[in-house]
Amino acid sequence: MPSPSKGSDSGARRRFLSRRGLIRSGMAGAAGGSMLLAGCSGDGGGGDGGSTDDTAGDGSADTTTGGGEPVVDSFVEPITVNPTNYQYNHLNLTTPFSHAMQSDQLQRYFIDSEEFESYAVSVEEFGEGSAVLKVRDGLTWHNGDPGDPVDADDLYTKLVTDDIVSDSLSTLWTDIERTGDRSVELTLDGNVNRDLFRDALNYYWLETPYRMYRDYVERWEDASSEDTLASLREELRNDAFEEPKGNGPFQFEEVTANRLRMSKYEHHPDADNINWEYWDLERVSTNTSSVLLGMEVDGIRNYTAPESVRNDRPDALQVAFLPAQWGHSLPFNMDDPDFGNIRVRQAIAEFIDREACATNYGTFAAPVEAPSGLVGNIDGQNEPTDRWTNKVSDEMAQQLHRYRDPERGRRLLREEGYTKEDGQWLRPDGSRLSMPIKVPAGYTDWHPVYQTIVSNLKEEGIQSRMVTIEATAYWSNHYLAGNFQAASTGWTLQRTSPYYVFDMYYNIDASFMNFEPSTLEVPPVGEPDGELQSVDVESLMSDLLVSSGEENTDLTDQLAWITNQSIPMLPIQEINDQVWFTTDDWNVPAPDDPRYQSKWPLWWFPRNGNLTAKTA
Amino acid sequence: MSERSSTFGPADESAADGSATQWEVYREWFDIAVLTPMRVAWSDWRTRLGSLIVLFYLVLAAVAWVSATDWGPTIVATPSSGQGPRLTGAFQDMAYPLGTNNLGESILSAIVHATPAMIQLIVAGAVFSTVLATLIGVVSGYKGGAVDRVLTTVTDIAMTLPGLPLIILLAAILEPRNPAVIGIILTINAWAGLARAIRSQVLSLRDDSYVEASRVMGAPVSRILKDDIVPNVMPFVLINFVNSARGVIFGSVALYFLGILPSSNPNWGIMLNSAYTSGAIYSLDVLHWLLIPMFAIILLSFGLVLFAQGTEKLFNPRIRARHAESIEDDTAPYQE
Repeated sequence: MPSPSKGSDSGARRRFLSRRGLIRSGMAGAAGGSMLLAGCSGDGGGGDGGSTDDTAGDGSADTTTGGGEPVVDSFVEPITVNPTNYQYNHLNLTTPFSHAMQSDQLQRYFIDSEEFESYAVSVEEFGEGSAVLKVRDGLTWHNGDPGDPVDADDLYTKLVTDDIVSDSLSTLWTDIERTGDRSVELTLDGNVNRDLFRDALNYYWLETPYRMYRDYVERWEDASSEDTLASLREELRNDAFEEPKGNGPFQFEEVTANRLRMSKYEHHPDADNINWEYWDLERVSTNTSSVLLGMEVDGIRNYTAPESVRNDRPDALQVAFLPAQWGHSLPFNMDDPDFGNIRVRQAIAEFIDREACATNYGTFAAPVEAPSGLVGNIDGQNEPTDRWTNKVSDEMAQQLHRYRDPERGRRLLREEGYTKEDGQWLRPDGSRLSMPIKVPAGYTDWHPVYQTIVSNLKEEGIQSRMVTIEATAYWSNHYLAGNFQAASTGWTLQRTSPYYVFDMYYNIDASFMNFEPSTLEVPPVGEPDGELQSVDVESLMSDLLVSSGEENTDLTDQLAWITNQSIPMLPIQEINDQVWFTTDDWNVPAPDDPRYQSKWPLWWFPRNGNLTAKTA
Repeated sequence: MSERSSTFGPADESAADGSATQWEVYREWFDIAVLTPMRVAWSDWRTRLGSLIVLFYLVLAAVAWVSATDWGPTIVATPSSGQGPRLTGAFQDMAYPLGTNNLGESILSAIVHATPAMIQLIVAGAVFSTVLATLIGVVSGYKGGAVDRVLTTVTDIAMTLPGLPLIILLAAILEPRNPAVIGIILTINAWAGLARAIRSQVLSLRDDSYVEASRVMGAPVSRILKDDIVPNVMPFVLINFVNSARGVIFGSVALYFLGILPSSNPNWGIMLNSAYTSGAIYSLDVLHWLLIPMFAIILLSFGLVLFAQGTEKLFNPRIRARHAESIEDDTAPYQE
């Protein structure tokens, strides 16, 4: 059926919405608020898990359920809000409830091997500008015993509602139709790159029963203008559901002011891998470190704990790491008289000690080797890796500038008319060069990174200070409003394909940075000090979307170079997520097990039999 | 009637008829206005200790200011990342006597360089609230009538505003950076209670005989307020000034700790917050990072409390007279 919403003019808004969703979820979580429920903030924010049919219930030897009665009947996960305030439309961002154990994720992505594995939905056919997606056999909704089968209508609803709210997957297709009981065919926006399409399916949950969203789907089919769609979007975003929904291994049971209880759904295909009855979300203190050390909960999806907590934790409290696929960056205001100048940005990049930033952040961060938007600088054991080089040619991996030469930075500044007197850099007009960096006040684990940058710049003779601003005001009034000289944000949207990172710089966040990519000029490839030349980023991005093989590598090379030289936002470091389990009552793999390298172990382990209650 | 007018009166006359030089007039003024309060303060251990503590912080602020400027010597280096090893304990290394934080910044540097902004903030808040309260309370109490009704209504409205939410709202809207502005916002409605109390005191003072005498003699209202009313409420005002200062310290630290106030300077509240969120309460290795700014806050507050407790004597004419070398006869009956 035709999609009336595929006009290019809707792109900016849809991306803006996606960005806000991310800010509300991923970064806030990583900043210490990671007790947010998975999926609470929309598709991008949570985690869910599972395995493909062929790997479901792999039941590794160390964690098989075994015989006997489990010593506990509930797994406790923390929340910090009153669960009676939840409503059950996950697309309404006001107090939504949508838990990763209650709905299944479309697929699983292995960060270390960069491979995809289908779970709730498989890609049956791909190519010739189309893709056929199919729902896993045996999935049923929690509306009976068993409930209705999850079918093509529900998958269709998932993709349509994604388009209504303008999320990232919707940018890849132009038409959609049901092709069987459980299949849906998408007409893609050209010959979209397969890996890029699979990447887009990551971190999506199948949580849209047609019976509950039918009205929106039908109105979307009838919509003929962008205004109609905008109105539909607004309605959907404001609609609050009273009835819980789901198809995962745990179903909603009851809610009180301090606990939301889910019970095992016996009809889920992977229910046999689970040997306990309840998944409880218990309301606890906002002091997560204290909650952890007090062993008040059985697991946390992702919490960045202070070093002292990790070092002094009880023996039965286990922490494992996996790449978060993002890290901190320094976005510049491209309208600023100083930082709008590519050479000044390069000079600043030369002065910043990214290694010190990573060290001061903690042991679970690694500096970005060559700032160019390529993800893969840290592994699951907190060691630096060169996984990022897989995205570009070997030659380009060598050519990308490393920005470790303060002397070059000084030369660049002098060439632009800046002078250094009495240890202080002065602008061409004689005033002191300064760079205040705005940072959200509540994201205290971000602060060491930016304090280190401030320190580096002060030592170089550039006035700098970290300006902390209350988090909500920071995003709405400063970062998203482009009201800064230099600011702070993550440098990816937690997707590994270079396309999505470049799309963030040249599209999604461009307006926040007052950036006009169409006017961009960078030095020629391999000549960082060469004369600036115009580049057509938009055209390169369009080609990258539908390219494959050598052409894809070549285009990625070009865009990586452009990003490496123009640095609209300087990637500083890449970090790891920290997943926590208590092992007194639970069997889980050892922290160095490769099964942790998929977001997020807390959701995948129960489904695969890797998390089981100990038996008496 | 104020001490000052009765004392200076004869001296001025002496000078006029040549029995005292101008120098002696100045000396007597200095004795009365400066030395006597200092003697009075020094005679009480609380004021003495409180003054020394407050002075200590003023010296710290001066040290920070001199160290941060280009022309002065660097007595205490400005805090910077990598200044020392990360998380060195207190008293482990004399290069960083109070230890270092997670960035390797010297905690001594951070404490010292946070002091000027803290003092600005405290003084601004305390001055704003007490000056405004005194002005409104005195005028309202003395003038009465419509002026009193208007000012009392304004005061009552200010008293009914919920302080903390108002401060949070103002901080979010204005996003103040200047410590002085932050100090004023923190005491945005703290003046109202004091203004009410001062008004009550002035209502009783206005009918005293010496005030009536001034009125009968045709003294202008401003002079009556300045010479007859305000000096009598000053002990109360000063004690409240110090209490306001303490309130600003605790309020600012709490709001900085909660991340509500914007900041761009080193700050004890932010230090506390950083230490807390870095797990300082869970590990003895990091505890110094939490305890030292806490100690800085408590010590300053303690100093202000002691100073306030001793200040009443400063405004007691008999005690002042006892300590003034230039006043002899009047104090004789009261000497111990």
